[in-house]
Amino acid sequence: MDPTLILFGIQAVIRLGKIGKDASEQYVRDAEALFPDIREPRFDRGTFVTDFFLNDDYQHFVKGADAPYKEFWGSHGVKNDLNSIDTLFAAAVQIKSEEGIDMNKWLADSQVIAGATLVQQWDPNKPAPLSPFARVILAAGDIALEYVSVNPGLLGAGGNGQKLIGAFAKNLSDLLPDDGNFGDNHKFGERLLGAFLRAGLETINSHPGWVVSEAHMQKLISASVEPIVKALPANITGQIKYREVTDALMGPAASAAMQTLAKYPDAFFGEDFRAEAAIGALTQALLGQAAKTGLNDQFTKAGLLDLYRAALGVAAQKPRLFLKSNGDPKDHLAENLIANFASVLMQAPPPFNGSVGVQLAAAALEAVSANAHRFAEQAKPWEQTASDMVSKVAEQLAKAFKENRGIENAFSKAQLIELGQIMFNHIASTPEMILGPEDALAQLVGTVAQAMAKDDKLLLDSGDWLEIAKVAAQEAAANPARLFKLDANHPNQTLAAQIIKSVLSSAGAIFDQESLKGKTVLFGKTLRDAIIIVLGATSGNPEAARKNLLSIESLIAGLNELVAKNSDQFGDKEWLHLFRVLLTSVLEGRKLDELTVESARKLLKERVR
Amino acid sequence: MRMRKIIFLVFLGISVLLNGCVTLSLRQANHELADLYRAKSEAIKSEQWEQEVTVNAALLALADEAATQGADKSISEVNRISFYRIAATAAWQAGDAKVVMYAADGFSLCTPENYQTVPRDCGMLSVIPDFASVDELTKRIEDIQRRVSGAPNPPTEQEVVQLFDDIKSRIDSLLAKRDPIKKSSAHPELIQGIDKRTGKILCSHLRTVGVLIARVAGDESAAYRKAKCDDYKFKVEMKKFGFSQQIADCLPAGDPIKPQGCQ
Repeated sequence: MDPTLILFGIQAVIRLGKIGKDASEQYVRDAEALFPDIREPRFDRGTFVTDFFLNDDYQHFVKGADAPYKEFWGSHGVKNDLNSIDTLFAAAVQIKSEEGIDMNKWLADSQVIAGATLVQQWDPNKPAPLSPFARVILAAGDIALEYVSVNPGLLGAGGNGQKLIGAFAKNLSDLLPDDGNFGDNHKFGERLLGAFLRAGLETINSHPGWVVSEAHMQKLISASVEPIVKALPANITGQIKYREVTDALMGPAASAAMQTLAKYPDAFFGEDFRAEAAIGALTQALLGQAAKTGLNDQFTKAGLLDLYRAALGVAAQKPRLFLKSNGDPKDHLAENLIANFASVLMQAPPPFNGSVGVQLAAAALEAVSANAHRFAEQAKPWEQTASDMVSKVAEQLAKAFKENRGIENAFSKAQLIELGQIMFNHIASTPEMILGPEDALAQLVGTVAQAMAKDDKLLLDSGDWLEIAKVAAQEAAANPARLFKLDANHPNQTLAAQIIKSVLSSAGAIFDQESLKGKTVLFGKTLRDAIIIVLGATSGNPEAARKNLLSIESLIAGLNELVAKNSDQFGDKEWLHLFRVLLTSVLEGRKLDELTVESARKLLKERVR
Repeated sequence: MRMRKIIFLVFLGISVLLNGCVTLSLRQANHELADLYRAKSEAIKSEQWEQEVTVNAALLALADEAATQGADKSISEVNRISFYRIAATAAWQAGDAKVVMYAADGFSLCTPENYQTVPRDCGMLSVIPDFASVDELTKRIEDIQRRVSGAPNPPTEQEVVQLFDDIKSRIDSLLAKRDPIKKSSAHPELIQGIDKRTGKILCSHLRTVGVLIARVAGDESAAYRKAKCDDYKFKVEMKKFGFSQQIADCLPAGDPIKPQGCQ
């Protein structure tokens, strides 16, 4: 069918709609009508058992000399006391269960609240006054009219609305056969196109400054709808499932795709249509995955759509990641991307199995896509790398939280996501950390996680840990083979983890001394800075750190005691300065003199000079 | 939370309409009916009776407004019929007796020509009062069930038999209205829906009241024997109409067995 005819038809409906609502009335009149069900009487045991045992098949249980339950039965059915009613009810359940009928299920089913049916006006097998084409056009006109009533200027000549409808009309004309014999696929496709039209109008309404390109819009719609229509399964069960997820997801997915168009206008101009092709592949992957796993508590509609939204951003900005050199979508890439994340998120331990996991996935996607050039030639597909990153972070942090519930409670959802972002952003710029044989990502996350697990006195808060994670990630990205390499003498632990644990343990020791614990300065920001200082100082010289670990602990313990005992003279600033100076000596292997008030003052004076 | 939002939005919409700011369109009326029905179902499911009362009030307001549109002679008759269909459905769900008037007013517009144009709406208008009546009778059934189990004022035989006869009348009425609907161009889902509900009235409502007759009058009483014979006659008639076990689960696969003493 000629697209200009469709466009003309829709515009006619809209114009008529502006001067009087009669034009689309028939369509509205013929829309599905609610036909409520009737109420059924509430279940009543007395009525139920009387009905049951009045049945010719079961009367012998209650009537006659040998009837086993005759004492519970009277001339008016079951005797009107609770014992009789309950006894006969139990007997009925047993009788039915011996017949192989699950009475509990039967009763539960019978108590389901009545629903309603939706009934169409017309018998599809009898002549109706609307041709299939007219119905399709009126359906589109009806959607557009909804938005025109809110924003009358929406469909002005050359405006965004008109371009959108133009794109819709072109797609519709490609979809529908000229002979008017619409099959299931055409009707399905028509509904999908309707979702895009609605989403487009919604987006235009909410982004008045958006300049729509009709050609790009057309390509986006066709790239998204065509593969979905083609993938409609042939069997009944498969179709039901596919249609269910499509009904649930297509509207919001179309909306998200349109929002992406409005958000990244530069990606949708000129002769480059790669972003549309990438988004189309993603949309199909989204529905395919949902049809495969179903929408359930673990894998919710909202979660799936969040994931889709995150991937849309990548598709808009880096479409080549999804495409072959000829511009066609890479085989199974979008599908694998959604499926891999779906699998990681389904298996992720709490608290990473819900919205936090999805947000982490989005952060990982963003980090990898921002460094896409670094991952392009690697043996492992980038989409696999991104989901692996989420898996590792979730696994290590969950382990730490299991060991230290206090630290888990200290982190808000937003901070957990920030923690993930810090790791991803630093390490994505060093693909070797993720792809190399050392698995430096796991070691970095493990280091921070193990340290967090050991902070059982909660000397640091979540904000402190985020700062430490930043420094750790920077150091790890700069020198992965030093502090963040697994220690041969302590399998499963990096040197950095051992250092942080030592600092924490020394800082915590003073809390066991009743007289000093109220005077220590080594917690919170001071402790955080101390860890940052020690990480910075040791990353250049891991060997010295390994050799002098015990000396570092002694230094911290000594400094703590000195400052706590002389809290009127020394505070946090003095503690940190002394630590910085003395740590250098410790790492150089020099034996420290006994730390006294006088020696400390001397060192502090040198700072002033 | 979601239900409260729906109720609030629908109330807001209706109050705007009632203040005369906007005229209710058919599309709006259809959407509001669906939203309120959903809210009512959720209220019943969660046993939030206060919310059910609130939704019923909103349904009645919608019914009145749709009926006002239905009475507007400046609108085409076929559109007025659709408005009346919404008015009658909303009044039914509100449990208000205006359902009978709205359905009658709407159905009076169903001339042979209009019946051809809006067959589903005319068909629904003809049966909605029967179903609304059954919903009302259901409350009477539940009241009698409560009283038969030892409440201070036990039901009388006459009262239960009257209830049985009222339900029978509804089945008779629905069966009589089947033919024109079946022959019309209305979507087959309509007649299937009507049949399914009629089957439910036979298998659940009438059957329950038959048992109540036995509990009130005795299972050897003439009233109970007559109830069994009436039940049998309906089964025979419905089998003739083509009702199956899938539509009415109390129907036998073969011919119904005639109880002793029935003519």
